[in-house]
Amino acid sequence: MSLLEISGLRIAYGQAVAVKDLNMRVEQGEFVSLIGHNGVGKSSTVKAITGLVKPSAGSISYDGASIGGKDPGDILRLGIAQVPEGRRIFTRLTVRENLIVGATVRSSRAETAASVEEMNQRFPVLGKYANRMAGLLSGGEQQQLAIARALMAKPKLLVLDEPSLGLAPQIVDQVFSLLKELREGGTTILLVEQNAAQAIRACDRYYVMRTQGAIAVEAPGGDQADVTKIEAEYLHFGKV
Amino acid sequence: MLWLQYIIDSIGTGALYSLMTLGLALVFSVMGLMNFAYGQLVMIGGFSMILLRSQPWWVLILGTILAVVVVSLLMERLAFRPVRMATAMTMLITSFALAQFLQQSARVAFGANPRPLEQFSGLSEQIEFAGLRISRLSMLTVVVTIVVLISLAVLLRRTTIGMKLRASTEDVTMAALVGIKSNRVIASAFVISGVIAAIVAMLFFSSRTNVSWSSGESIVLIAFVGAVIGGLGSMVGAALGGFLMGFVYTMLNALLPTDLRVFADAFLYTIVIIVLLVRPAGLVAAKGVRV
Repeated sequence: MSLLEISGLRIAYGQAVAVKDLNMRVEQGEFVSLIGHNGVGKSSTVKAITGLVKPSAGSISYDGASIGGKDPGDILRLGIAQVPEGRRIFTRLTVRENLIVGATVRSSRAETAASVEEMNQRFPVLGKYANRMAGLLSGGEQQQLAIARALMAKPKLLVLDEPSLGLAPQIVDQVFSLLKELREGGTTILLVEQNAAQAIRACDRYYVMRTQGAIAVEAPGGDQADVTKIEAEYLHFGKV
Repeated sequence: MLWLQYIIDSIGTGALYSLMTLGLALVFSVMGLMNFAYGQLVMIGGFSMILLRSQPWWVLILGTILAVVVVSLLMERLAFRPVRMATAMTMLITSFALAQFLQQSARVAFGANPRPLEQFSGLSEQIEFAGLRISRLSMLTVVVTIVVLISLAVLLRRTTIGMKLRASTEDVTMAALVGIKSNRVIASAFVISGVIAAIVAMLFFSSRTNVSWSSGESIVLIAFVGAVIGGLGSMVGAALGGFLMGFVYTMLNALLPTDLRVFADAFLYTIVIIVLLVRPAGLVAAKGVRV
């Protein structure tokens, strides 16, 4: 049984169909990348998984239970955390408060404090600027905060929507090595990206999505994957 | 010396208006709702004072706060929650309807004529100090306002519920994604707003001799304009905007020549227009406000 299994998923906003009939899965402990152009339905898929949009048909099951249409808070409680597109940190809360709010679904105060400590160890910059307004951090620092905030809920599955968007290349490298590290630590990862080359090399398995959530390719990732071919065939502009 | 006297008088009114504005602005910043029924909460507080007037003072205070908070929570649950996902316009019209409903209910329950409220003898006394007169009520108003401001700041800055309130204010979708229950956060904003409305009622009606079903109207207007010139979505702005409304209004009444005094409102709103022309987002502009 896969940790996350999506079958026959359809997402529509009124008349507009974003995803028509999506089938995909993520195994326990796996790092899966979902790549594709803007507007093919990647973000809608993420939103359906984390409860921000309700599927119009099909099923999403997590750990054997159906989660399609549940509330975001309940889905998070089950163990799926999202790092949203554009980071969306709370700019008028301090760095530390952002982390604490990330642990809302966990009850104990002591546990939360321990996790804040843990994040400060892992991301030294967050400890350094703990009492600073989060809006004052740089883009790369904000991305670290967004990931750390999601980790505060101790998720089993981490879903990231375009974490490399708008970041400098070195920072992007940092984000990817962090994701690999998290996977080594046992966190299952679903990464949604336009940055195909790095997303493919970093993952165990990837999907290429084309219009309305149609899966064009499903293949193993890693350093051996033929990134150039995938890019040339599916991702170059004008060829969609 | 006369100037100093005017300033002292104006500070009392400013403090009261500052409180009025805070209660309205808090709910606005959490859910983007301009609750025009807010003034009716103050009116209900006034009638609660009449009903509890013969009780010990602490029963009157706690009873009034309780009554207003209950109505405020019912408002949220029965009127605003069902339309929360609707447009801002729908919520606004809901609040107008609710204001009408509460006003007319009060009119049926308590009659069309204002009901007399027996004065609290201790509060109207004046204290003389270095040639200046300060009423006890005015001093109490300033002290209570400062206490409420500090409590609200501590609540918002130092408690978990305050953190969640601020997070929801900034990005309600993201707040849901980290598991913050918006129903609970919004309900708590209505509780705080209700407590403030009850305090405003007690301070406001202590300087009046009666309570009427229409008493809430002018209050919500002042609070609304105060919140707008202060900067919608900012608590500091709301406190400042409300204070300036009360302060300037009282100063105008003192300083304008007698013939012009009847136009104090016109002068006040002219100043409001000028402020908004210079700073359209208000004195303290908040980022990312949903209107």
